Amino acid sequence: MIDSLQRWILRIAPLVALPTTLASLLAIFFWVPSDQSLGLSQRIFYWHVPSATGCFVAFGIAGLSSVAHLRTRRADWDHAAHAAVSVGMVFATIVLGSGSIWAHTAWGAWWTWDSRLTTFLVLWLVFASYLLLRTFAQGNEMAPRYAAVLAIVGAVNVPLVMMATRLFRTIHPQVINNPQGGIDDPRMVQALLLSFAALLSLVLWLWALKLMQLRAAGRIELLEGDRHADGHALPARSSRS
Amino acid sequence: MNETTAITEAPAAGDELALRQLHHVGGAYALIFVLLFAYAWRATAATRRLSERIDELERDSRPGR
Repeated sequence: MIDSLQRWILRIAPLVALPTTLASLLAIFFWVPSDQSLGLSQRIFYWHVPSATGCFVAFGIAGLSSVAHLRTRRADWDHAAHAAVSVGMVFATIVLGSGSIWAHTAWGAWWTWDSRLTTFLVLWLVFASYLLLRTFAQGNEMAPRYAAVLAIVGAVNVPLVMMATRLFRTIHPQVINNPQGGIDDPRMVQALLLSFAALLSLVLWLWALKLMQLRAAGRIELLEGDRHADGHALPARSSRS
Repeated sequence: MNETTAITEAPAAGDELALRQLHHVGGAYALIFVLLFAYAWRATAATRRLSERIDELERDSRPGR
């Protein structure tokens, strides 16, 4: 199942990602009007918001794949979760970076301990610890199981981050579904939808790419294990990625 | 000195703000592109290297060798 999904995504996602990315950038820089209160800096939102959604999707995939791994013990699900966390962290870092740049323009500070920012940072740290665990516990047969539990804990944190602007007092702007404004011009909405298409297809594309890498590394471990069992000397080259 | 060349027009405060914001927007998108490109490049290179290693191992493990 994962094999065919990976192949299908690698075939389709670039066809969607490349034109939508280009169209989205053209729309953001040359087509959408500037926001009246936030000015030019509001253009950061067009990729900041879909990047956040992209990392939530990736962390969701990681959580579900980890549940499947704990139930079935199949390595494929573990690879799927690991790849999703890896890609999710790239997009989460983009969210933190682009958000900080915007905050410096709008608030005059790179960071503030706002509820949305703090819950997001906690999410980033949970999944950063997942990647550290995968790196330092490589070769330990219990590592995938511990990592799966960590990914589920992180994925459970996602809804809290998403609802932080509604649950707690915050200065973080609510871009979507904001009764007091936000993105309301039709061109802004179209540019945002285009950015969503671009970023979500990029998430899937990179996930499939990373999954292919992890599965290849797993296959090498198996082949080298077979060689070792057959009495062949192990080659000097490392199989780790 | 010609009076017209001596007078330098100070940029309006609005233009300065817009320019600063444009720098921030450019910086944010540059950061995004560097991160995405570096990640995709690394993953593709690693996958290619691992695929070659798999081919090598499978060739070696074929019967008759």
